[in-house]
Amino acid sequence: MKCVRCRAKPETYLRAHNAAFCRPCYLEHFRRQVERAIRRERMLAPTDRVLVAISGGKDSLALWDVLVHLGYATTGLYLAQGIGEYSARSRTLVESFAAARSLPLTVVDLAQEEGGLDIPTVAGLTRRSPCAACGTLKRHHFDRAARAGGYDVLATGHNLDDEAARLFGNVLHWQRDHLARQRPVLEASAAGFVRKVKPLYLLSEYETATYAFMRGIEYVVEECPNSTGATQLLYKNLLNRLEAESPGTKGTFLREFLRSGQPAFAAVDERAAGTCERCDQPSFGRVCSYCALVNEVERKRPGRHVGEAS
Amino acid sequence: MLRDLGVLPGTAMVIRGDLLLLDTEMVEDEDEIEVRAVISGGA
Repeated sequence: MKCVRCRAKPETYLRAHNAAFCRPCYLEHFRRQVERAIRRERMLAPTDRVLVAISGGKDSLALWDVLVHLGYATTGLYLAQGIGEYSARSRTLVESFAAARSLPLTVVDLAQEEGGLDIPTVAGLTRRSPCAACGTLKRHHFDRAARAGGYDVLATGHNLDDEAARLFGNVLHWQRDHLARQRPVLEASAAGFVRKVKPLYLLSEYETATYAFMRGIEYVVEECPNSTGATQLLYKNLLNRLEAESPGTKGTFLREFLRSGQPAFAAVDERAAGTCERCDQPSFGRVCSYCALVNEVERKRPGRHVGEAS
Repeated sequence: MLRDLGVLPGTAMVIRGDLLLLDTEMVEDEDEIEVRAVISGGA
């Protein structure tokens, strides 16, 4: 087996592409894939100010590394979620990554928000799973930080496995509104929402992990302790079983959905964002999901009573 | 080795020192190998 580009001894082999690469050629290949996705989907303009959501995992740090390499003006955004040693470790790695490359980084500490919205507190006081609470808080703070900093776009490290698993779940439950909006680019549908892009959406977790390893990026290898038994992991496992039997299945599943399925769902999607009566930000309900969460936490916080001013 | 460990292809990197190993490469008894999962996720 030889590197498909330079015929040198390869270090990695991508089954879905039936292609092996040496390290320099793989790094070049990966960056080109990201660049092509950005160009094809018109994700970023050269002058855009890009806020990059950084978790400390392989995907977000690899994405940040590539965007910097491609010359984009980026700032990292890290949400400190208060998940014990896991969050402490991820924050240290993110801050080290940014400092070593002199990259700007914004940190939002959820424990300092609205009297304390760290994940253990929120999950403990509400009926939401930690993952559901985390998703709601992330979406809110991504938009808020992007607005506050005047950024043009928010980039996230969602990869092919994330998107294929999400598609699988949306199809299993026929979530038509979710299917209508599952795109690598989510336009700002209302004032207050920021444009969101996923430049890694066609690159697998194996590919992003390989890139991060080859670049010497230190990332959080340990899984979030709250993700044990998460549905998304079940879907990923099922899709990886299919992929093992038929390499390329995940990519085909997602690409063909985006080409032929998603436009059909989008054509009949009539949901339009209104305004949250609590925070005046865009919302598909009377109050947005973030304010509903905060309201519930405030009601149930020890020592607080319904109707008490915050 | 990955098959024996029940690891699906494409779900883990095999690392020896500062290099990745291909599925086809042989490892020696004295080699120190890290099998690092690449799958992450929640929700």
